[in-house]
Amino acid sequence: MPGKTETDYKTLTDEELILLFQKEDVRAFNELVNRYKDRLVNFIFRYTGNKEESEDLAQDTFLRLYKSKHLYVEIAKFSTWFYTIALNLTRTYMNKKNKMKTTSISNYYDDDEKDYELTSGYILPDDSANAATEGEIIQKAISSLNSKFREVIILRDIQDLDYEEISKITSLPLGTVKSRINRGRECLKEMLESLHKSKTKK
Amino acid sequence: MSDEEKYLEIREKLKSLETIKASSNFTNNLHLKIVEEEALRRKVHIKKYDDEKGGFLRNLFNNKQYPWLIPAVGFTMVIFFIFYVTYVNVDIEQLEKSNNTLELTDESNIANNEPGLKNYELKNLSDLKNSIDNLPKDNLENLKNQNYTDQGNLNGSDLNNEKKTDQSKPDLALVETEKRNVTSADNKVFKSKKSVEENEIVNEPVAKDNDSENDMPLSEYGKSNKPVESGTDKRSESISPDDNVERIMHMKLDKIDKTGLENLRDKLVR
Repeated sequence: MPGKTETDYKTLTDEELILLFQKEDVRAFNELVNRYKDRLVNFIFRYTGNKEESEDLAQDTFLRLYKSKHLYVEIAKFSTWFYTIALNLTRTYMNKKNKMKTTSISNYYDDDEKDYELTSGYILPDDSANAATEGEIIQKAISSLNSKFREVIILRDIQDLDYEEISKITSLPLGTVKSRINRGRECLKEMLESLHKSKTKK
Repeated sequence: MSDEEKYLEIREKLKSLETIKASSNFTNNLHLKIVEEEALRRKVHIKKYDDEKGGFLRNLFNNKQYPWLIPAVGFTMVIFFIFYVTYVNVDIEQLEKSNNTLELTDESNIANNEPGLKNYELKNLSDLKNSIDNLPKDNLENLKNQNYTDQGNLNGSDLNNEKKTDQSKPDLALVETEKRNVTSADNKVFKSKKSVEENEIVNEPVAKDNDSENDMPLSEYGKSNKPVESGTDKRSESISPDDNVERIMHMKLDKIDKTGLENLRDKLVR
């Protein structure tokens, strides 16, 4: 839109920006990138535990938005739609990564005694000795959570989304979302307690 | 105690986590990715366009937009092939066969007869010859005696002239035989018609003399339509009955001869 300045774009809502972008207004897209890039990178980082991967995945999410802008329908909230894309991409990526990491070299041999096994990237509570700071310990605890608890806890307690929005993003019933969040919190609490105990012992 | 209050401690821990921010070159990298994606899309579009430019059959059978066209086109082609094999091909074979036979007959005719004569002429002449051969011998002798050949329009000289127009140097012997054949055929027709006419003419005066008024058709006023005899009628006035009969016969023969021979001439021309 030629008559608008950058400040004008900042006053627009997400939905207005995506509608402008659907009319090939690239500056609206840039504004959306500026608004969501940190939130998105943070969300994906808490999910994957890797900064580089989270940036790559965040860029892929924006790229998907760029290519599939016409798929957005005004009835939905932009953040919900955008987080759904990000979550789906991250899930797919993590599934691929997990499949690759659980492949054992010793599977190729018939020996019962395995020499070594490729471990998954998840950090178990016993590895807490390596954790330096509190933040790192919590991140490792989140990463070791089951993915179905992890995603709802990140969306609720880190991204601060409401239950309904989480329900839409994950395509789960509201009750299921609530119960998963509670169960995830419980697991996380137990995990953190055990980590602290092991740390104090050392 | 609600769930939020129950897990307040863990919630605060999670909220206190440092927010990870995107790197400074995040936007640049994103733009680079977008440019690459655009280039790739353009490349794919160009490739697709090039594929569309391929041959007609290639497009037809690689048609991803209308895959249902493939069986339809195949079925149509099979139907056309069957039609070609059953009808068109057979016709060509028959034509070839008939052409071969025609060529053979042409060659044999040319070999046996005269190379200058056309095929249809030879055919007509041979038909005439056959018809004459089938005639009774008495009729032929009568024809020769009466010598009607000079009276017809299509006599030997006429036939000869016609042939001369068609070819530069006809075989004289063959022309002579055909001339004879044609005249005798003409005579056959002539003779048969002549005999009929003679009978009619000979019997007519006798019959009409007996009951001439009754035989003529009546007009609507009840009068007879019989022509009134006047001085203009030479047949009944100045000639004796024997001469009259002969003259009438000649007149009628001229008439018959003309039409009959004209028909024959047409036949020959065909």
